[in-house]
Amino acid sequence: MAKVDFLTIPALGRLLRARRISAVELAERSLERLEQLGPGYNAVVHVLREPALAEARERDAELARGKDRGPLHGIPYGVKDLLAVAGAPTTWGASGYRNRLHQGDATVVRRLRRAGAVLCAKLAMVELAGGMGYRQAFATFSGPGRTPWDPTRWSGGSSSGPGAAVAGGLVPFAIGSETWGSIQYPAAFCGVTGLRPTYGRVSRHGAMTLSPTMDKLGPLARSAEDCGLVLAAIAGPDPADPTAFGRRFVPPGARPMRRYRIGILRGTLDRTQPEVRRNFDDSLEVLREIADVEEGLELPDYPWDAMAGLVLDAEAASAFEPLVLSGRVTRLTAPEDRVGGYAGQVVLARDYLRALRVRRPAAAALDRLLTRVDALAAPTLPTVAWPVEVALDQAYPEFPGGTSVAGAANLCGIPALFLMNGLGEAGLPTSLQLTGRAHSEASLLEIGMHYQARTRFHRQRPPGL
Amino acid sequence: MNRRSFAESLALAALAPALGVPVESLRLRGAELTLDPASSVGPGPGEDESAASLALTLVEIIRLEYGSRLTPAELAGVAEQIQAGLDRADLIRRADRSHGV
Repeated sequence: MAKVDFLTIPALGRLLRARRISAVELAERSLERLEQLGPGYNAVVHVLREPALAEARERDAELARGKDRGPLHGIPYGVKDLLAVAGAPTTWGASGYRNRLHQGDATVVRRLRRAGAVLCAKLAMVELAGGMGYRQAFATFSGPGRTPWDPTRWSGGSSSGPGAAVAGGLVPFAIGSETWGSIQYPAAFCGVTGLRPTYGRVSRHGAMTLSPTMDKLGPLARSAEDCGLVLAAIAGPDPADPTAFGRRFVPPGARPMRRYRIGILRGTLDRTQPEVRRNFDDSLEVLREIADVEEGLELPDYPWDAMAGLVLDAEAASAFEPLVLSGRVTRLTAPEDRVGGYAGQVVLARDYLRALRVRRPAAAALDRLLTRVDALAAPTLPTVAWPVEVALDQAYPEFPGGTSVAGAANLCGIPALFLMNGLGEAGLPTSLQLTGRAHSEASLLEIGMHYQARTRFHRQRPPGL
Repeated sequence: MNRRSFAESLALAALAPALGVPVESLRLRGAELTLDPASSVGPGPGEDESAASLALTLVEIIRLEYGSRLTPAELAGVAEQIQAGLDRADLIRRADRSHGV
């Protein structure tokens, strides 16, 4: 069998269509790695062996009779365990939900099946996607996520399993979610490519609700091109999720090359690790081959993180009220999560509504800034992956990072692409972040593809794999 | 001091720093947690006092509803989170130039 563990989606597709490998063989290989390597990264909650093989057999039969569902036909994948899959438990990372079954599939799962992808596993996550304010990696019943680059380091949260599973070559791509940082962190700590789509680009029907006005679903994969192929399959309107909009997403590839504009916020490199700064500077040199770079941009003056925090607190309190009222919250893994749901219960309506009201002019101001550029570039995170055993705020207190657009971007629902851009301290991945206007995923992916065509970081494997 | 009042004094000692008020200004009368307005060491006049009072009221709601599940230290942690939330709300209020529109 061809060596397939770290191939991109188009490369796997070529092998499948050339009959050099079958969808069943691909699924078998993913299932084997999920079962053998997954536990070492605490990346897997539930391996879907029989359903995956049945799906793979169907995909092979279809190809044999000339039916090709497109680029994802026969490609294995995993989903963060906050997406409902009929017949399999959906745990949200919380021990109280370990055996809970949902009736149907999430829209994303249904669309990926329609596109021919083969679901192999439900992947681990921080309990309740971090909605209770966890402060440590030991915040899920499946154990702390470990990055394949060094299992003593955290794979990031809350999409810990999707990040580690892609980085470890367990699946070619995975679906994660982000409310504030949950694709960003695993993409950076696991050295994979992650895409946080525009709010509303992807239906959230069948996904756990943390913050109805901030939750997004998106892919983690081996390359920007792969992320685009996955997004094309899962994007689009959905009667079951009224926030999912109909604006069409066309993956990049066919459009002619143009010169891009990249902006850098003032202070973006402040208090970052030296290796992160060095790799970011190197990335900028690569980007200058395809883009004009404007430095010293200013983030509009709004209390971005305060707004994002307050909206998230209020909405999470509403989403998880039954858990708190029933007392089941006391069964969560991290002690701080057991008490993290109470304060949100008394957020005042006037404060929440004011945050929503101020979000509108703030988003307009952010959009005005972003009209000047195709993307804001920044280090995805100020440090490499944090040690698993250390409290999150104690990992690298000397490197808290500088000006960050993450809170503003998540509050306003604008997209970002995360790309590995080198190795930092202890041989761990560092990452580049590109943030753009709402609906600009195709441009971000194009820039990412040009960047990855000029570098090899996305092809680097963790040691020993 | 009996066991109950010892537990209450522990709770008040844990809550006071979280609320930014001196422990001497907190009173637990029956089932009610109050801020003593006559306390010579209470919070400053005006807005500070009102903010502390609001925080205290919100903590009291949590204590009344869920107090049986929370240790004094946990309740103090909740009080800190409530205060942090009110601080965030205050930052947003200062940035609100919409006049409610």
